[in-house]
Amino acid sequence: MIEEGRDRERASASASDPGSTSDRRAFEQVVAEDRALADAIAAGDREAFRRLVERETTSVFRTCYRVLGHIDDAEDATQETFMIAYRAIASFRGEGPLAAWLARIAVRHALQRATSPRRRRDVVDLSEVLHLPGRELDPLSSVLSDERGHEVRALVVGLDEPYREVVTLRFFGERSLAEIASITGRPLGTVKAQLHRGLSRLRQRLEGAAT
Amino acid sequence: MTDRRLLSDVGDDPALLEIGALLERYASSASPRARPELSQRIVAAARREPAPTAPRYYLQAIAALSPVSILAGFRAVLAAVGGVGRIPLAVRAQALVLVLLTFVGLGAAGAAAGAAVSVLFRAAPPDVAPVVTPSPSPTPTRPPPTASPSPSPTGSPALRTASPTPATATPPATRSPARTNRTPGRTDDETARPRTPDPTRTRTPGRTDDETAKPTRTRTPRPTRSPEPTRTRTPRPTETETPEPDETDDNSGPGGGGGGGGGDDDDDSDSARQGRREEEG
Repeated sequence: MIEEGRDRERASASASDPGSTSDRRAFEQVVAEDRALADAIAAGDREAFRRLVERETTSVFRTCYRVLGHIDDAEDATQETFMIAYRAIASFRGEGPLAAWLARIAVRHALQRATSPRRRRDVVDLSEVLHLPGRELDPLSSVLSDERGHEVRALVVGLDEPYREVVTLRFFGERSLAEIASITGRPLGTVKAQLHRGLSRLRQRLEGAAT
Repeated sequence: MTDRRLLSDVGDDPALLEIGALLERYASSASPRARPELSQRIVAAARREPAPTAPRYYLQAIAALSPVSILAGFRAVLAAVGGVGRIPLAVRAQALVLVLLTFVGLGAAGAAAGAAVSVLFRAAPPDVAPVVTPSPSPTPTRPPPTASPSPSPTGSPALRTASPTPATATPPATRSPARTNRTPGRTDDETARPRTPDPTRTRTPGRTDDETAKPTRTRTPRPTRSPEPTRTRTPRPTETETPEPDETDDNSGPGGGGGGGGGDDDDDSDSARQGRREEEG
């Protein structure tokens, strides 16, 4: 499992800079495996879906959490993301990794949830901050970082499309530009320009908020 | 961590690098692990769902009326029909049926659209007439024409009276042709009303019915005009004939010249009498 993760990490890295042929082969192999996995799920293979869930839950959950900022919301969004992907797995074309496809679904669903008026107030929950697994920070710095995180989330969620999607996929979903281009169907140059403009707008908004 | 990799795409702009570093710091700090029961929850939820086959996805996309999803579903169905992989035969058969149904439906829709367009183009010129749907309206308007005959007789006598007047007065012959032209026109229209049996023509020019109805209204005033010429004509002959004598009469009567003229006659009679007396004497 760990080896598989490292291969995928290398394949994802090679997608942003597909220089060497070995990396490209690794990327193509990952894509081919994901295509076979998607076909198996579409054929009704529950075990294949379970494998996919176990492999991608952490990544999808983190992406949702970075957008929403709440554990419960992120879990609900993660489950909903997998259900959306499960119903639409037949439409997966295999032009990129399945993880990137899932990340896009997660980002769109989480952003939709974040901008929904029915969503609960974005208040820092101390219990979540203090007892979150994987946290080694002291409580005060955790609270401060969460306050800062709230600002960053609000800035990113307040961006206009398509910059918001590209910036979120790049930094919250940790997807390469090539993966973003493949799953969004946009040229790589367009994705680069959108990322650049999105960051410029974020900077402007940050400066405006500071002044 | 892949932080350096994330920043590698940002570029060399220090301001943008700073923003990218801020986002990176946030992403690294907000990296919790999911609870272990989350995966089981998702798998359990998926078990309650039917198998996500391509035909099912296509049908759901059609039900949702989402063009993008419909296109993606059709692509998935095509891939299921001709794709390579471990796709169950039942799914392939369903996909094939859906593809055939889609083509048949598209063909039928195209044929219907073509027929509708052709009908529209054919009916374009006469489209106005049927749309007017005067077919009911003319029938009610026709009764008035049956009542219009009552004015037509009134008009016909007027025309007859008008026609003799030109006969009496030859000079107005220039007027009489105009009237004769009008009179036939009226007679034609009046005869045309009963001829309305040309339903198709009369319906399409349903307006002609209205126009024929209007002329009846305009004709009724014309008879009123036709008497006027008779009045004008009658005075003219009287004026032209009588003026010469009347003018003399009038001038002799009231005028003082008449006294002078009468004096001359008296002188003539006196001289004649004197001449007779001289002859007798």
